Amino acid sequence: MAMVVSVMFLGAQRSVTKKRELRISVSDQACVSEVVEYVRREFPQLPLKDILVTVNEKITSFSQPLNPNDKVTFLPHIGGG
Amino acid sequence: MEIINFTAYKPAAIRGGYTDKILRVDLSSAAISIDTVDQEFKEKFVGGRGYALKLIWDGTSAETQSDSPENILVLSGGPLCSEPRFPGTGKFIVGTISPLTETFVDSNVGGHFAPLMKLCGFDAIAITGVSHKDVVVAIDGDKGSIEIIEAPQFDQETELGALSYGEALLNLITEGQIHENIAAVTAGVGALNTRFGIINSLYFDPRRKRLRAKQAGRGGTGTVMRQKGLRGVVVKSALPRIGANNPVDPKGVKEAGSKLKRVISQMDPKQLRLSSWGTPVLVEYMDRYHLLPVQNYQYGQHPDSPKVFADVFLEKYFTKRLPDGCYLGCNLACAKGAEDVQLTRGPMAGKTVGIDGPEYESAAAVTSMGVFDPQFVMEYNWYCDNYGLDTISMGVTASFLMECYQRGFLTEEEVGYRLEWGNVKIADRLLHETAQGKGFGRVCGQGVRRAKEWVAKQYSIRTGRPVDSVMAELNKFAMEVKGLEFSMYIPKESLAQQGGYGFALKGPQHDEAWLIFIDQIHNELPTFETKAEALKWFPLVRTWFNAVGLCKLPWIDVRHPEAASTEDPSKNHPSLSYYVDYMNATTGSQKTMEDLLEDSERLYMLQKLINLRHGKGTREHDQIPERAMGPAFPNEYQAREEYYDQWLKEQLGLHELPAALEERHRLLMQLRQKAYSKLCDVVYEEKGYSLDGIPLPETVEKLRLLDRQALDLLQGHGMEFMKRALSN
Repeated sequence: MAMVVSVMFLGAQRSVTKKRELRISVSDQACVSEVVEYVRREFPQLPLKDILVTVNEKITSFSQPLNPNDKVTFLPHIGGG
Repeated sequence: MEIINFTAYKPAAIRGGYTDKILRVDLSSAAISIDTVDQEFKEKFVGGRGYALKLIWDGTSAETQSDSPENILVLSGGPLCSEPRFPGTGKFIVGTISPLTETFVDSNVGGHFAPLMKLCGFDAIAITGVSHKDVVVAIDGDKGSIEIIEAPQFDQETELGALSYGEALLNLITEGQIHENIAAVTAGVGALNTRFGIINSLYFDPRRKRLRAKQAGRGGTGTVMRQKGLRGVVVKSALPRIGANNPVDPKGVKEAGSKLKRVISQMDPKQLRLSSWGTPVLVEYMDRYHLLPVQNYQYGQHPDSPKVFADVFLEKYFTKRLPDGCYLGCNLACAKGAEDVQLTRGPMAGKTVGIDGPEYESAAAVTSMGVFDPQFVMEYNWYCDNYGLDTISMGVTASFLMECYQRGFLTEEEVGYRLEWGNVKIADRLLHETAQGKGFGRVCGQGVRRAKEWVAKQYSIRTGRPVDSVMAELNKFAMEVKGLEFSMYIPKESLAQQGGYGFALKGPQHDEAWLIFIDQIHNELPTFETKAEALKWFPLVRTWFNAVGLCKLPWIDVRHPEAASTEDPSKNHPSLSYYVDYMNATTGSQKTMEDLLEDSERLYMLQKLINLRHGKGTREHDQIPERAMGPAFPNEYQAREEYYDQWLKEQLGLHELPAALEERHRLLMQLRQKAYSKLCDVVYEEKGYSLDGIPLPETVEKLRLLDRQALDLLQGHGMEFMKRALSN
């Protein structure tokens, strides 16, 4: 079985990806790390080191299992000016 | 230009970041004098905000109002200001008694003014009195002259603007050859007609070949400037900038600066990319995480938000590939700008202008009015700067009044038109009326607190409902604390940020503590105790930046690569260590981070004492509107019903919730209010206050602030204590 999740590219990330959203088909057992690896392969220029990952606006770990239609984002450090 | 008074002087040399001189100008008597700063004053109050606080603590009283002649307008850099070998050293503080809060407020601003002021021989300028006619103070460090001159008059269009007036003034002084060695602060007509006037810091950018402006935006400092009859302060010096701060250890300064610059150049391109995108990049992140203050902070997101994301400004407006630092040597260079933008609205429609900005706050202020038009963001930004209005207070007051209209507290007859959300023409009309002091703009120009009182009275007259009862409703969504409007982040889902806003001594501006992401997204502050610790630590560090004359962004918005492996990544200690090195190399001190925090705590406590003296220092003044704690009305709950239901279930340990949305809303707000009350208790203990938010005498004594005034003040608030040693 497969499911579809979305990766949302925010801010300056789009200057690399040239798109706001990437919809990916993954296995129904997939976890966050698989999506991260996919994005790394697809966009090697995208700086993902030291970046936090959120799923549906909540911070998460790489081992977090995903659900259908989850929205994955990569969050840079924001300190608030 | 008629010279009202003139003094010849010899500019003091800078040693270890200080000139040890404060210029005092009394506009009532046109007196000019120069004070020498003694060692103890310098050691205790550091510079910048610290100098402003001490001058105002000593020189004003509980009776001093913002427009009182004895109110002091302080312009003060700091020992670390003016050093191109370190990033972000063009900052200074404008401090005064605020027309919005009627207690101390300060606002930090960049540009070349403070470095040139220091080269002219002054760590600070303190302006008292009220002039009967508009004047300009001109300091020429090259000639060794300080003049109070009658403000030159120009054509009507020039007179109205802070930017246009400043440009005309500097053109007059330089005979049309404005250059990098001259800078000015000015305030426009909007500052005169409202309580939230700003001060523009003008400097010449040789790359753009025009004057640029940064703003001391919060708290109405520009209003005080105009009330004093002061149109501008000009500083001029041709002394070289490199090495000008004359540090004790130049090599140490260079090393610390190189390390921080390296972090910025390596990490910013992988993080927020402020050097390319500027702060508007935050609009998208705030929208994504429900933090954008759409329609007076009702909703955190909007489908039209992408229209005002940073890439729109980058593509359509910003000049690309141009280093845009507001002072020499800053490689973060986030002060984005645009050239040749044609205004399409307002009294100057058709004119082509250069625009500095927008910063995140200005773009977000436009979304608070429900508008998502990038051209309007640019024009709103420019007009606010030129009129001399705070983009934040203007937007928040306008959006509060729009919500009053939405909820039936205001009528079309009272406003003169339909004050609807998202209507560019209406938002634009209200902006110009406010700046010009016309029509309904006279209400808006008073800021949220006073506009709220006006609306309550009008509604009470119209309906017969008691004023107190109307006020209770308006208080739910009037986004102000202590009289200052909230800055542009929704704190509903972050208890720590609610405290960050509520406890902020000047009112709800995020420059004390911006904890939303650490708390709400990263979940790094899971307990009341960890929140309280952050609510003490961050304001102290941020206070230090405002005391020494530095920009915070290279520390707080560019994470050091080694920070992740430290105990508190969000504190970014590896970068902070460069700042400690820079401080010691400049002044010759041998301070640790803990020493710097203790210095900051003294300043923080002094500000707290001023608040107490001016009736804004107790627990009741730290209370925040319901809109800041959660969904103030059921429609906001409904907009995120699934999220709030889940939150309630987790908090109450229930599987089923009441069917009625109103009941779930009531339960949620009850929990939020209880949590905020508990946060007050825990934070007050952490900061050394009583449960009523009053500093404990031993806390004040420990910080060497227990002078006669502090003693009387604390005793007047019922604080009992044994015989204490008074400080100077």
